[in-house]
Amino acid sequence: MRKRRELLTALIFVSPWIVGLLLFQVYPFFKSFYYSLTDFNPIKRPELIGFKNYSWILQDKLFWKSLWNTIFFVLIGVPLDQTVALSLAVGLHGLRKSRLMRSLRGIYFFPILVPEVVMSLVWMLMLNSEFGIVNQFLEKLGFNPPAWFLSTLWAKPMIVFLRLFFVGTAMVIYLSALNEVPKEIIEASVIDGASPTRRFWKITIPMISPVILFNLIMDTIGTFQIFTEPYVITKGGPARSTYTLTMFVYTNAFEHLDMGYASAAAWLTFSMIFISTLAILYAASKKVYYGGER
Amino acid sequence: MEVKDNMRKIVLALVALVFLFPFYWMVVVSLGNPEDFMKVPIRYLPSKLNLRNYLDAVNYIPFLRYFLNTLYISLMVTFGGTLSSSFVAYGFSKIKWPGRDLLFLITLGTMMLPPAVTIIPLYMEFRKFGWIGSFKPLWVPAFFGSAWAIFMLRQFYMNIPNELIDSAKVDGANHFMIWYKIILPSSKAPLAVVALFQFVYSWKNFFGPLIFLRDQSMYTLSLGLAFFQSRHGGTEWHLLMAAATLTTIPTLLVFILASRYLIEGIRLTSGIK
Repeated sequence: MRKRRELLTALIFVSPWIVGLLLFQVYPFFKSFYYSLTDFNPIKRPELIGFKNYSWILQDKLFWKSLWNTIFFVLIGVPLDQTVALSLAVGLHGLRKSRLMRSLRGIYFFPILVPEVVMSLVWMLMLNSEFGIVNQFLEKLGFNPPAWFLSTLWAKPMIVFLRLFFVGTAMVIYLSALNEVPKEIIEASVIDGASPTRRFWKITIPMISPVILFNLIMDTIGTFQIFTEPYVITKGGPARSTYTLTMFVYTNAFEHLDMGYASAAAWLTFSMIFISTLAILYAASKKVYYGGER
Repeated sequence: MEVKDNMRKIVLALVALVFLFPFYWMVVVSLGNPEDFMKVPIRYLPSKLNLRNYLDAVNYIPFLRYFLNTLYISLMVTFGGTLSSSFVAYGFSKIKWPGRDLLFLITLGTMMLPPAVTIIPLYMEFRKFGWIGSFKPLWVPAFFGSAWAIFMLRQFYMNIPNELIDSAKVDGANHFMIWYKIILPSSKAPLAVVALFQFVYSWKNFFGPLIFLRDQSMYTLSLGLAFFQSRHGGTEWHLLMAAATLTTIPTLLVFILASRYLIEGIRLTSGIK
């Protein structure tokens, strides 16, 4: 009797979330798979057409282009993000708990709070090929700089570059992981005469490996959905060189109003994210150290 | 050792300058004459402070309007999201019931779900509710809780000693009273962290407003800035940067007041191993 009352109370507590979960996550998730099997737009009722959307997409050159661009952002961007985040964290960790450390940490963290649109606009201005400060500076030094966001070669790398300003969250997570590495282990290795480099690779990295895994997965999931920066800065150009999967979904759904087709693309995006996450987990399963648990 | 330590400081300081430069440049351009930054040689400081830009920017895009729109949405999300997530987190931490851990696992799983997958059915769903073109799609879902906020608060509530709750029960309090009278007052700090994050993410949001808002007078700041840029072929950068600076100021306030708590909050969330 008491147990049942407890269960009832608990269900009342979690009921907003259960309703929200069903309305805004579970139902849309399955519904979008259903949509992906239909031909439909906001004024036309969905009409089942089987897997035709998928087979059309696989012949759509623009889809392959957006897939390749997105994979570029993930393969180049994620390792770079994580390297920078971890390097900054290691650097800050070496400063101990000083005032300087806190100020620098604040500066690296600050861009996280700034709207992506603002950051995109500022970099658009700074990297403008005619009057941008970066090119004026480079020209003064005697270089012949490219047109950055107007160049099919440079637009993608520059978006990767500006996203490096958003490594603050990952950096904070690394920093706290570094603080939790037991001092005794480090001291023991110093006595054993291990060099700092060796200590870093053989002790620090394995000790913080769960956190590396966590950041890698979060960054991969986030980067697969990259949208705002290319949408604001390049509209996917030049020559579609920054056109991403989420832009493909958005354009088909809300500009061409081809919502069945867009849903199929959305599900392919989801599959990519899912498979990548599993792949990372699998690759990590032998390397990540969980401090003797499990 | 000394030399190495100084090298480290120099490198970190240089990186910090790189991180600060875009914001420095945003403010400098926003205060200058348009000609200052459009021609060679470059000026690193405006020729004279041109505060008029700010007045012009505020009129050029309906800044105040966008500001109030964004503020309204962000405050609703912050209030609804924090309150409901706290309520739900109590059910996930302080009452034992079958299925709790499974549902919690599913909750964590939803954090992996890309918005691109759910956005089309959500759009159709909100259309049926008659919400498209209103602010509702942007704030109503927050009142049902958010996965990471529930996760964070649950972590915290788990650490509140159960004796506190048991003794309240002996005194005749039920769970709702305990949540309201004991848990809420004793978790002000984590609630503040959750509230701040909800505010910042709602303030920054671009994808949601882009999809759900129709009428230009209902745009948020992020959306308004992006359209301001694309609509006017020859962008008036000094005005755009003035508007961008104004957009960043509330974030800067949050940062100055609470960056330590935000950083602490991120530290807590990463506690999953």
